[in-house]
Amino acid sequence: MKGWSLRSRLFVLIVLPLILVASFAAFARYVLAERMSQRLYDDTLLAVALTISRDVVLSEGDVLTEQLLDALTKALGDPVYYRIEGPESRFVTGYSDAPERPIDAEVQSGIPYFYDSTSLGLPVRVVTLREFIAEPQFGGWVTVDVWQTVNQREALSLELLAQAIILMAIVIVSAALLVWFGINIGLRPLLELREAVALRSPDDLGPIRRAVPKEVRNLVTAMNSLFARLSDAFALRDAFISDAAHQLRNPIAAIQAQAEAATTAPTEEELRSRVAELAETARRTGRLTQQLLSMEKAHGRNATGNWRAFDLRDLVEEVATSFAEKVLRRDISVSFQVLGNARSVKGDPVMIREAIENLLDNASRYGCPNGGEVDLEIDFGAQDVAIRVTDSGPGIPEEARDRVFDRFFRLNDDASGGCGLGLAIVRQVAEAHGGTAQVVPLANGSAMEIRIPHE
Amino acid sequence: MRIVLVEDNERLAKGIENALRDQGHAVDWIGDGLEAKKFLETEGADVAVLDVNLPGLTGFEIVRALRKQGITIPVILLTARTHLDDRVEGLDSGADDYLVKPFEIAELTARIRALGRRRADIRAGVEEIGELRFDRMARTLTGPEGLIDLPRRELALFECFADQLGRIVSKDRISDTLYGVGSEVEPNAIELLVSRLRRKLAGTGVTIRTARGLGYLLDDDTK
Repeated sequence: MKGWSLRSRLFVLIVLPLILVASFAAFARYVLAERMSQRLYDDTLLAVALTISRDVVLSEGDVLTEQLLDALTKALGDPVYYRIEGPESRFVTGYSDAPERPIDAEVQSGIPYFYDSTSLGLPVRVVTLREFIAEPQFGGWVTVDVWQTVNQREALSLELLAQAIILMAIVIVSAALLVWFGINIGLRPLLELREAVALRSPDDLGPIRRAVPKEVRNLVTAMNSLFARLSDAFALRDAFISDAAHQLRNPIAAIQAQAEAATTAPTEEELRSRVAELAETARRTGRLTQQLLSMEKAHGRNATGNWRAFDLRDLVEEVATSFAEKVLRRDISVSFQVLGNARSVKGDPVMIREAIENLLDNASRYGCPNGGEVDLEIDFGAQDVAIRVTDSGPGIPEEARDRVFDRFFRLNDDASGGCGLGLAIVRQVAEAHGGTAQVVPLANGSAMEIRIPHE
Repeated sequence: MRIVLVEDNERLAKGIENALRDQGHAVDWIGDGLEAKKFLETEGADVAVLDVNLPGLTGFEIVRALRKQGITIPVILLTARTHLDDRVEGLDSGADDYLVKPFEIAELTARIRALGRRRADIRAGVEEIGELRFDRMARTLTGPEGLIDLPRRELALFECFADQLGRIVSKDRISDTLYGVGSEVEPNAIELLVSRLRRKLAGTGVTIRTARGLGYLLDDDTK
């Protein structure tokens, strides 16, 4: 029933029980009416029986007058038959083929006994009376049987049944119609809401302001909050794209200028030096686009779909090793140590690697441009794990400590070839893992760390 | 050297080809995976530089196919920096080295030189590192001032470094190579051994560098 429309759900849930209740009521009504009509017929039959017995007594045992029988048949619809027995089952008068009395029947004096039987192959209703008649002619106990075919009764039963069914049908159909229209009117605010959302343009991420029923208010609130988050995310993305385009425009303009300058170089020596500059600019541009891609990747990977438990110690050691292989000969010494008890960490290993590589790159680029020390440390604590990179460089001024993690922020516009995205990526990765990235104040040099909570 | 360059980005290929030619190498450039596989199978090369993402066959598939046929051409894979698994798959497939794009041309030529040299050295039986000549068969190491006298362990240590020239070798690995896998060796013993070897290699154009917590690296200072 989950995929059903609200309308069908409501309709079925209301109308099905209604049909059951109405059927039950109709059945009950039929049974009661039937019982009532039975009693009325029986009373009539009894009255006839009494009349007949009196009539016979009065006529001193003679046959009932044809007129009376005709009158009775006309009045009752079904022909009436009778039979009267005197004491010791002596036949007195009436019809000889009386219906069979049930074996266990005990007819008591003064109490009419009713039963169903057959006579001449037709179902009949019978009443038996037993009376003491003091007339000398009869001289004692007389038994009177009066019976009647049941056509009329059955016709009445059928009529009652038909009435009950028709009544039930009328009730159900009218209730169903009422419910259907009621539901449609009741659900109208929802349909209007749907229309309103469907009619929105893709750019319109403003909240839905129309008045809605209490029951859907929560849904609309949730939608509005989603709209708000979406619109924030779009704004961020727009800002990023415009930043990125701006950042790319400069080096590309430089490449163009340098390439054009190369074509007009007067000497081969000059040409070589200009092309070398061009190559350097191109290299920086390549690095910038690389970082932009990483940034984008870190952003798109925020979902925990790529998360798994992995050995952080192994990963960091691997990154440290390839970093050391690259920088050892540039007079940068590298060290690596693990504090606390190593344990596996849950997260996205690709992005964490990216973050650590950026921290190390940052340390060697700005911390030790002319040699120095870079230390990499993993500190497994009770709540979280810290990955800390320390360099022996000039350090970071206090006022810039919060801003170094901002996109495109650069301490000084030097020749180091940085693009101001490395630490932004670091922070994005740390935050995607529920952690933080920060500068740790040091007396000499600078240290940066990311902390990732265990859970 | 005769180098086969398989790269479908024509501009990048052109740049690499020019740089390699300038260094005196002969370069065959192929832009399609299937074609490259056929060419390498029939013509061979001293070194093959393969991009991973290629039309026809991927770089991984080419290396795997070559290795399956027992063709041992040294292969450098060029991978885009998208997946951590690329590097693992690259080395598993039988490539000798990999470079992550974007790379510096100088880095590529250095790797090509190293691979080519290793191949030449294996053929000659004598490796040249810095100003050292290392003869693996005769177990001798010769410096600019003649034969360097190294005890068996120190020579084994040098060989371990030379196998991983320019790469960090961890203490665990040294211990496994010198004393057998799983043997309990005091870290001090290895430090002592390294410092002795380092002293004997002074002034030969190679340096043993230390990365604390990671291991040691033999560096050829002349390159």
